[in-house]
Amino acid sequence: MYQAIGYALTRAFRMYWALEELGVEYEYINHKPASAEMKAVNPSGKVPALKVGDVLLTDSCAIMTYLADKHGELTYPAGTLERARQDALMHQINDEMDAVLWTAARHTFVLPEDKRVPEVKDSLRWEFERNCERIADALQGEFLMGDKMTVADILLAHCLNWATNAKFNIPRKELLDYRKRMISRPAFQRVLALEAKG
Amino acid sequence: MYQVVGHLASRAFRVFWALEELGVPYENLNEVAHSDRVKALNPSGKIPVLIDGETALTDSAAIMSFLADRHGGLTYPAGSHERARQDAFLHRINDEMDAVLWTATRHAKYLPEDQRVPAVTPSLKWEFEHNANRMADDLTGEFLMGDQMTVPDILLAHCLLWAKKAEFPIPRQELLDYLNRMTARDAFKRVMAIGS
Repeated sequence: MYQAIGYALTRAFRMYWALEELGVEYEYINHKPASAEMKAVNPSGKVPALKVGDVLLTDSCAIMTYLADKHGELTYPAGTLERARQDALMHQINDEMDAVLWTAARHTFVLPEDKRVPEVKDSLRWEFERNCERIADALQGEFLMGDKMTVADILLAHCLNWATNAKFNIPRKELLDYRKRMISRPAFQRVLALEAKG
Repeated sequence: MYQVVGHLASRAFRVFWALEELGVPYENLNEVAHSDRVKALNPSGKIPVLIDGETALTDSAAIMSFLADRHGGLTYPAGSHERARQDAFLHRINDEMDAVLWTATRHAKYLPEDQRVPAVTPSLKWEFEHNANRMADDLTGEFLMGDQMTVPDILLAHCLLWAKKAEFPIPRQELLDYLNRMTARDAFKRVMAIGS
């Protein structure tokens, strides 16, 4: 059984969501990022991590992609044109949403105080809105790739939740509707219940 | 034959490099970002774009992974532990190096002037140095994954070149030695020759 490590209200949420969508069993270990317990597992202190036998895997996107390939769902096969588009969406969401939200978080509470430049946050909010427009334009069906849900959808829905919590504006109704559809999924709700347990 | 839309002084360099390492023929359609031809293929105007028959693929990292899987080089198989580690390097280099350099570049010249906050640059340089130190700690062999070169090596070497140009600190001799090894490769030199 997988050991899935990392407090769920972080990027680790994505890993749990993928595990729930795939219907794979796992043990939930809720170490907080940068905690002594987490650093004992992953020296950088970053969450999530997935323990597969003796091997420790890190990075939410790499873990989701690994699980999808291994269990044959939430992804198109490697080497196909569809997979290239799915991966491009994943990198685009990382570049244009995750990195923007994460830069704002770093300049709010993550960086040492003398390295924070809070003035950058208004510009990041402006960029986020513009980037949302691009992603909304690319969203043509129920999911990013059309009829089939992929790991890129988990990433996008998680970033939209993050944006909502961080009070970043989501300018397009298509994205708000998409988020509603995604968070009403039973797998999403099961992760929320996991988090409520501690 | 693949067509590469982009130019060497951009993230398209990575795609040319991957194609040269794999020994796959391609045509170079020299284009700058946001040209009409690029926008017709990719509405965001970003380069590179790789044209495969009727399909336009975007994003340098996605294109490199596609080429590696399709042609069976520069990668471990999808679904393996090694591939998960390789992908984790790819995302981490994007997050901790590319995104940091790109934020500085946006605030130096790409954002509308009223959205630029150049005061963020010293903090970004500090972060880059911190992240480069951690990357150097994890670089224990000839390549990121040990003996086998994979796509994140192209990404890391390209980000280190970018850092040099942008005068971001590369704090560790291991990283400079790694960059020297990577840029001494025949495939790298063939890409450089495209420009001359």
